[in-house]
Amino acid sequence: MAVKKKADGTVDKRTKEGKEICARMAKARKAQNSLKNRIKRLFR
Amino acid sequence: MKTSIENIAAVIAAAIWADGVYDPAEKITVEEIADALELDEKAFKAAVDKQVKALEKMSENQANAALKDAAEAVDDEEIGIVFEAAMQMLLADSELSRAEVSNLLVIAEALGIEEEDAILMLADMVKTEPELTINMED
Repeated sequence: MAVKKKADGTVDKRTKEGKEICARMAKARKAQNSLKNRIKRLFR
Repeated sequence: MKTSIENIAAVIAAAIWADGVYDPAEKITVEEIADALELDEKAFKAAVDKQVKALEKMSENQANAALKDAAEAVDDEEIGIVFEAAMQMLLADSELSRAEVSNLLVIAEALGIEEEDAILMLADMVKTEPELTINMED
């Protein structure tokens, strides 16, 4: 099933598929230590 | 962290509650924040859950007062770190909207971060998150 997109072509994050995409991206950020690296660079 | 888990959780809950839902991406981001801030993950998740549930029952004024109280209790040396964590939460949907920026500035003010510094930290985050989309709509 195609992911529902908004008029501007971006994924509609309110749908189940959109939320799953967001969760996968959040997992990727976590795996890359996105926040930890920013804090380390700026504050520690 | 010198700041208590409860006060960090209250600031993060304010960021979660900005759009009125606590979705799976935000729950993963809570785990990421616990890891980055070296907090006990189980205790932090429980504290965030408790704060989100409390926010559900609050009026906007009560929620703002709760945020202010928690933000004032953040250790002065840790306000930037807690703000970065709140930004990460608003990034959970991989989109940055006007409402989220507005909420971020409210959180920054509550933490005692000057607007210029908050914007620079936001710019730094945007620079390092290529997947982030910007939504200029209201």
